[in-house]
Amino acid sequence: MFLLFLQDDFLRFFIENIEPDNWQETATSWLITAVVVAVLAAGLVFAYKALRKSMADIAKRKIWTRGQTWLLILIGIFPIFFVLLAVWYMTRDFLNYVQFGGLVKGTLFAWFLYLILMVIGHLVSPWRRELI
Amino acid sequence: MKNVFIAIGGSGTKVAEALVRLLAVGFPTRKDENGNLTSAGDSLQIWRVDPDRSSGASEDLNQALQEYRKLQSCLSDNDETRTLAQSRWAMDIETNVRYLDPLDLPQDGEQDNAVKTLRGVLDSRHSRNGQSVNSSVSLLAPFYESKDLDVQIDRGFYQKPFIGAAVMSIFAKSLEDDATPGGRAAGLTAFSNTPTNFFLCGSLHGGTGACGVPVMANFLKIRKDQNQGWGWRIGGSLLAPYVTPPNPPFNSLEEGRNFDESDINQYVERYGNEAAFTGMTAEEKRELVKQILQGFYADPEDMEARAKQGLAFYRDHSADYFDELYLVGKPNPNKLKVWSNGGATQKNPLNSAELVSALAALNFFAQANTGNQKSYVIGSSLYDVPAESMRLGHLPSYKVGGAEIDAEKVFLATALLNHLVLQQIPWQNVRASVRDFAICRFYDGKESRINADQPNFVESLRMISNSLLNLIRENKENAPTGWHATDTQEVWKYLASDEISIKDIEKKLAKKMFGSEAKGENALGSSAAKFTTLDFGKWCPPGDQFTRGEYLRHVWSEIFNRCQTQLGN
Repeated sequence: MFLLFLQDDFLRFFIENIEPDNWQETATSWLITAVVVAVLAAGLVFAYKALRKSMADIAKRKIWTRGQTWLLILIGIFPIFFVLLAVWYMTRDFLNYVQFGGLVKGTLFAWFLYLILMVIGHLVSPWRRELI
Repeated sequence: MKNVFIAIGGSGTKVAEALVRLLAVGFPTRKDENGNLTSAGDSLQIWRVDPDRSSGASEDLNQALQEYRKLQSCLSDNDETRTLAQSRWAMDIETNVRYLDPLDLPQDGEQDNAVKTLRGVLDSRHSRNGQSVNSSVSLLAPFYESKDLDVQIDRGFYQKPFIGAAVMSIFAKSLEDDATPGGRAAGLTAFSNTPTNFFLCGSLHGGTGACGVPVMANFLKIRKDQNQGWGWRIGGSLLAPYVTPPNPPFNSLEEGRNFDESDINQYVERYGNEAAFTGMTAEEKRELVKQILQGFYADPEDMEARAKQGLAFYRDHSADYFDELYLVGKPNPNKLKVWSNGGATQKNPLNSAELVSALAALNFFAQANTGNQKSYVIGSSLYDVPAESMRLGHLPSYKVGGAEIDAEKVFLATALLNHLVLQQIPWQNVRASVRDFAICRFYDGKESRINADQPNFVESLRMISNSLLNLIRENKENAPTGWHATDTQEVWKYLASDEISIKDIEKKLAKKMFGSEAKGENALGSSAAKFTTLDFGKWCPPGDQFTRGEYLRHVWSEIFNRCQTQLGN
C-alpha cells in the first residue's frame, strides 16, 4: 500500500513543479509531512478528549453528544492546515516545487486521513456511541 | 404485612394524611430481599371513623391519596383505575378510605337511629309508628341534659366525649356483624387468621377521638384475645393538645340562660358573614349559632384539663388494650387563627405533631418494640423543642431491621433522589452513556421505553416533592404548622430546577481532581450525604427486569446509606 502511495503518478498529484530530477523526493517528503501531521493531530485530539473525559468531575460531563464529537473532529482540521502551511512556508523545496496547488492537495489529503483516523478510532474505541 | 390505620376524628384524619405523605416520600417499614430499606411489600388500609363526613381533613386526606395513587401508577404500570395504589417504591395503599360513620348504625325500623342526635340514637324507638316504644329517656336523664341529647352530632362530638362514647360503643358492637353498615365497611372477616397491625389514632382531648379510640381499641382487643393465633397487634397514638383554636365569633350563654328563635336570627344576622359560617346554608348557620350558644364547641380553656382526664382514663382503663401506645403533644400548642366547628371549613395544614404521630405509626408498622407492657418510654431531647419552629432533626427516629431511620436523613435522601434522577441522568443521550450510567445500560436499545419512562419519573418525582413540601410547610401566623422555615428552604433547593441551584448541588457531587472522593457534602440540617455522580451512575437494581419504582427505591436506599450526621451538630 505504501509503495502504491510512492508511485510516481500518485506523488505527481501533490507537487506542481516536476522540473528537478529529484521531485519525487520532495513530493514524498511533503506526503510524509501531511501523514505525520494528520496522525499527530488525530492522536492529540483523541488525547484531548480522553483527558477531558477523565477530568470530568460530574458523570454526565463524561458523556459527549454526537454533535460535540463532530465539532471536536472539525476543530482538529484547523491546526492541521496551519501546521502544514507553516511547514510548507518554511521549507524552501516545498515552497518552490510543491507550490500552492500542492499545499492545497496535501492539506486535503491530511484532512481526509485525519477524518478516517478519527472515525475509525471512535469506532474501535468505547466511544463509538458518541459518534454513530 | 397488613396494616390498618384507624383515623378517629379530625386529628386522626390529619395524621392519616401525614402517614400517606411520609410513605410517598419514602419512609421505610421493612427491608426487602436485596437488603434495601423500603415499605413496598407491606399494605395499608385506612379506616376513618368520624361522623363528620365532609370535614376539611377528610378532603386533604383524599387529595393525598389521589396523589399517592398517581405516584404509584407512574412507578408501576400506569393503571390509575385500580384503587389499590401499588408499586415497588412504597407500600400498597387502598386509596378508597373505608369510611366508618359511627352514626350509620343498624336500624330496626325506618326511624331507628335516623335522627343524628344523641336522642335520635339512644332513644330512637320512642316514637316508632306513632307509639312510645321502649323509651330510654328515664335512663338517659341522669347522664345527659336535654341540650346534650338534642345537639346535632353529624359534625363530630364537639370535644364532648361523653356524648360520643355511647354512640361509639353501639357502633363498635355493630362491627362484629358484617351485615351492618359499619361491619360491611370494615370487612373484619377478611382479617381473620391474618397477621395485621391495627393502629388507632385520635385526639386525647377532643370529642370523636377521645371517645372513639378506647372504644374501638377495646373492640379489637376482645377479638384479638379471642383469636390469639391470628397475629394481630394493636397500636395507638393519642394526640394531646398541639393546636388551640381561637374563641368562637361570640360566647356561649351562661348556664341556665335560654334563647329562642328570634335570638338565633339576630345572631345569624350579626355574625352570619364571618369566616366560621362560610359556605353554609341558612339552616346550617342557625344550627351553628345554636351550638355556640349552648357551648358545643372546642373551648381552648378546657383542652388541657380534658387531656388530663383522658390520660387518667387510659391509665385506669384503656392502656392495656394496646401493644404500644404513643402520646404526642406540644407543651405550648400552636394557635389557630380561624375558628371552625367542623365540616369543610375546618381545613388546616399538616402540623409537626401530626407528622410525629404518623412516625409513631411507622414505628409500630415496622414491628419496633418500644419499651414493654410494664414500662413506658419518655421521649426526651437535650434541648427545648420549639413548638412553632421545629426542625426535622427534632423528629424521633425509629428502627427498621436494625437500621436507624432518622426523618431528616430520609428527607435528604429523597430530595437528593429527585435531583439525581431529574438533573443528572443524561436522558437525551442514553446510548452514549451506557459506560457511565448503569440505568442507561438498562435502557440501551429500548428507545420506546425511555420515551415512556422518563415522563413517568418526572411526574412521580413531582408527586414526591409535593409531599415533601406539604409535610414541612413553613409556620405562618394564619396557618400554623410548627415548622421552621430553614428546612423547607433547604429541601426546596434540592427540588429546584434553576441553574444556580443545580450548579450548587453539582459542586458538592463533583469528584475531586485526584481520587474518587466527592468535593463536598450535600446537607439538610445536621445530616449530610457525601458521594459523587460517578457513584450514582453505578447504582442500579440487579437483573434486567425491574420497574421504575424498584429503581427509585434502590437509588434512594444507596443515598440513605450514605447519609451521616455531621459532627459538631
